Amino acid sequence: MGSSIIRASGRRAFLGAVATGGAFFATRGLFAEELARTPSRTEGPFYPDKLPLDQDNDLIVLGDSLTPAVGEITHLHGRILDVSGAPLKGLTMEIWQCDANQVYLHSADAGRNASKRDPNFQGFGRFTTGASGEYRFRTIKPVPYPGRPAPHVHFKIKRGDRELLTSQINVAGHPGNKLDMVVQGGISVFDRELLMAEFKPVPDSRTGEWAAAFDVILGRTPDDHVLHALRDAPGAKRLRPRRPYQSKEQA
Amino acid sequence: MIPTMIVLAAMAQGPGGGATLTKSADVADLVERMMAFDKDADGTLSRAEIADARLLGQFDHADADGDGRVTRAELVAIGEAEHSDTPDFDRGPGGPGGPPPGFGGFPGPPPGRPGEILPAPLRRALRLTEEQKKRVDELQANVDAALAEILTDDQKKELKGMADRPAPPDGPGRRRPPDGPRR
Repeated sequence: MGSSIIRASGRRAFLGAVATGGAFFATRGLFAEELARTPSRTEGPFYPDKLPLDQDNDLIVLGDSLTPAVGEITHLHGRILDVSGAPLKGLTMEIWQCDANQVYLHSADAGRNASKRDPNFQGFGRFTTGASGEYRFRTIKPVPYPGRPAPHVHFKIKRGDRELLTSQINVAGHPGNKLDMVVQGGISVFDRELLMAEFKPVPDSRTGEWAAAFDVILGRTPDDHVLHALRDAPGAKRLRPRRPYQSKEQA
Repeated sequence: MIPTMIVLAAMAQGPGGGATLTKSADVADLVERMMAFDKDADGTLSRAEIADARLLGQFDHADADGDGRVTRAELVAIGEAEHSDTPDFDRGPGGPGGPPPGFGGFPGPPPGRPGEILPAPLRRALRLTEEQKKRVDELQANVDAALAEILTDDQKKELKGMADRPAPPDGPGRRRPPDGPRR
């Protein structure tokens, strides 16, 4: 009850709908402490090597096609915030995941499994945040596949072409999480939890849709990840950021 | 037996096993970062104190007795239960990715030490029975002994050196744990 997801029957209506993002961080501003940053995870080998023509935030329907993708429809939504809880606008979130038949939109995977691939699943989508920092996608509930017992959605956050974060969204409570080397490997218990999204059935959905809320927290300036990488690199003393990043919000 | 032990110890950390925390450090990290929400400083957490909605699932999971409060002891228990020694197999852009190395025909060395037949994560993934584990252990002991006879002392030293070498620094796009102020 009280779902913040606005359900819409048509594709156009969905694209225009504004998910209000719910009551995440309702207490923002009460505390001076920072929100924990979303940890990064491996990009994996299947970021599309050839991006689809349709790159919108509805991965269920391709172009003007009338045939939807196979799978359980999921409304994935949330906000991109800085560590103080302030929304970050103008950031592009990209997601990619395998289809319901476990095939990625990538020549190395789809090439081997061409007969299995769901031709109606977009496999990749983009959304650029506005002032509210909110994003939303309509996609399928991710499925496990051989080698990855944990179902997951890959994502990247970019400002223009600059990559700020690459990570993966997992399904909270899925039994495959405990067996999965990406979910388990080289990450603290606390940080692992930050990559879990609870998939909840959409109330009254006749088609068994799901809603999953997942907020992304970036460093104080989104360039932190890059700056840390520079700082930690060999010979870091010689490296200085030429132009310290300043977001529009800070300018 | 001694050479066997050297080989066994050589790659205990696993190649590229970057930032895997020890169990005690992982548990301490969890306790510290969760207890940062203890605003009334009474030593326990209430659900209302968890200001970050992303951590409510962890709170509920930790609240073993279901009394709506989470104690340090409950956090320690969940930290110990959920800690994983699985190494981080991410070796940067272009490296292995989605499916773990060794799975599904993807290139890349399996996590674990050289000569290890089935590293712990693979054993878990395959859900080996106790009998199977025992047989794999026996096979591993034979492999280790044979490998120890094949390698020269210098080579064993070199292998150990490689294992002790600190993990390469992260580059842009690589996974790295968040640092700095956090909770």
